[in-house]
Amino acid sequence: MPTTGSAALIAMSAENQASELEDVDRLVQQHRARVLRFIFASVRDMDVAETLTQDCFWKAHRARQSFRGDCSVQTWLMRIAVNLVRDDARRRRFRFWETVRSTRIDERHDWADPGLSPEDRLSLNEQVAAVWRATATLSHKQHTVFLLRFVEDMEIGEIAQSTGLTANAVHVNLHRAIRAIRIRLGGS
Amino acid sequence: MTTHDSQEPLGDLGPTVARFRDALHHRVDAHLEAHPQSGVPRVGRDGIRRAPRRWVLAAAVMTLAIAVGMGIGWPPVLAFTRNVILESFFKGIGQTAGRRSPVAGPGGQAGAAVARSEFEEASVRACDPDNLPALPAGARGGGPNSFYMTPGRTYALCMTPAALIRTAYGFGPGEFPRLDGQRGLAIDRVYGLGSERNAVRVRGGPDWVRNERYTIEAVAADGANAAVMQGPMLRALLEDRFRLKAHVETEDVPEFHLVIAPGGAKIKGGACEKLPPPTAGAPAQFGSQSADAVRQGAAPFCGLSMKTNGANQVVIGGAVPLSALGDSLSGALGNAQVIDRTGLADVFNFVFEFAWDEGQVGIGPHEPAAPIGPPRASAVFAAIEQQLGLRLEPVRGAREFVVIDAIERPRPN
Repeated sequence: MPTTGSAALIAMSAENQASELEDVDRLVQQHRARVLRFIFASVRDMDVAETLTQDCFWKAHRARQSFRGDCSVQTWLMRIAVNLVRDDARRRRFRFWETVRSTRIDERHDWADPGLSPEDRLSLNEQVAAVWRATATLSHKQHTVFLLRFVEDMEIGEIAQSTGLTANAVHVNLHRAIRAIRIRLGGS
Repeated sequence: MTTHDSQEPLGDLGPTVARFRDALHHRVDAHLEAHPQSGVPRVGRDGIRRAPRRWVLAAAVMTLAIAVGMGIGWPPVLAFTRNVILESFFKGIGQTAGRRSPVAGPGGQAGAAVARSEFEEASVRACDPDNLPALPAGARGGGPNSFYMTPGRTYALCMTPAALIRTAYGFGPGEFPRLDGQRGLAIDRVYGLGSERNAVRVRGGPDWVRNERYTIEAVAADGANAAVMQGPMLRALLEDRFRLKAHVETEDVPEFHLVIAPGGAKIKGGACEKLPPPTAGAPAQFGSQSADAVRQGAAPFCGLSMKTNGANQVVIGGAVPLSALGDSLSGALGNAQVIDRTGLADVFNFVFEFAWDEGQVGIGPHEPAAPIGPPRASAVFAAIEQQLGLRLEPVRGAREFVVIDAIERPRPN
């Protein structure tokens, strides 16, 4: 029966995802770059990002039994990462010196591919640094949905699942983020 | 309410955001290429992970100066010192720790770690002997041989297996009672636990047990307290990763009884200046306390502090039991145990200064160098009778030692 077949497929999918969570090394190998990238762009400090990334996989491994399979493993990991970033932001409010310092360090970073010409690298670095600074002015929600949408290329539904927002709230935050960045970059 | 398309129009921002996206990918890919193994933070979420920048230090010093000048007191100084030690400690952990992996335990089952009082996940990694983490200036804790616990996490920075074994069996410096009356190592304190190279409490085993150093980062289930992590969990970790087999033996060894000298005790109680519990292994916190001022009647800091004065060792006690004085003298007596047999149950204030044997290194921060060095004090036996009216009587007594039956270098994480 079709319904039985669908149920079996869903069950098989959930089982496959559960087994994916059992193999920590493979899980890290597959998703580390994405999680690290999102967290780094959020916290702007690679040391902290590495720490939170490991915590993300550690939490996922510990909570693997509670994973219901109602979203992809990747979305589930991003949900954990979003929560970790939010918690870290709360703690950072009391650590002003880290915020100031890490921002200065990352503004100095050479973002461009070393293979580019010096002129292209300079231009690219300036553009990236401008967006980097502009995103720093966004609210936590706006920043998160902006990164998930335009850096991680996640669908609105996936972002909603990762952030706990409604799809409409994701739209609203994205809209406001884009508008704020455009203003910061001197557009209209 | 405004509705939005599923594809938010970036418009003219599109190319710029695309470059931003590519740059982030490039940045992280480059990082992953440079750090292919770990993805591993190596450091806990304690908030203190990096070396302080100069301007932070300068700002902190200015803040402290203002705070002290305004009569706010010493707690900020202590907090600052503690942070410097923690910074140094976690910098060392970041340099030396490896990737964590589940702890299987002797039974080989990783899943039931909580029920068996074992760490759930741990990293054990050898330290490069030629590139050990730096020790923060003026402190004993925070560099190699340091040990630190937060709720659910344990860190050992470049410690010898012998020192780890001693700690796991409860024979480390932490066996001494703390100022809060508890025994064992406390949460959120950096301890300098030594290397156990002189086999004070750990016998047997190959030479590398006392020469090689390892950094451990271990994660326990929520709620694991210091006593469980330092004891059963650390022991289980050593049994798992180092294949440690050991037993405890009791031997009849020389020790000393601290008794009242024939002329009577020359110590008395008194007020002490209360401070937060010191960061263990950080005697620099007491560096400003002048022994002469205490001798002339100033209230000492509560607790026991030690500093060196030229060739002399100075022990300053503020409302401490004599058992604590005995513990502090163990190092000067060949690590023999000193047991308080005075029968005096009170707490006392005192300044005790004695000369180390030639070649021995004192404990604690050095006094500022004087043009002419301080006169050499009497040896410990004579000094304690002259200054405190107490006597050290050599006796023999039973003492427990950990004997290593078998141990292997740790398996990779």
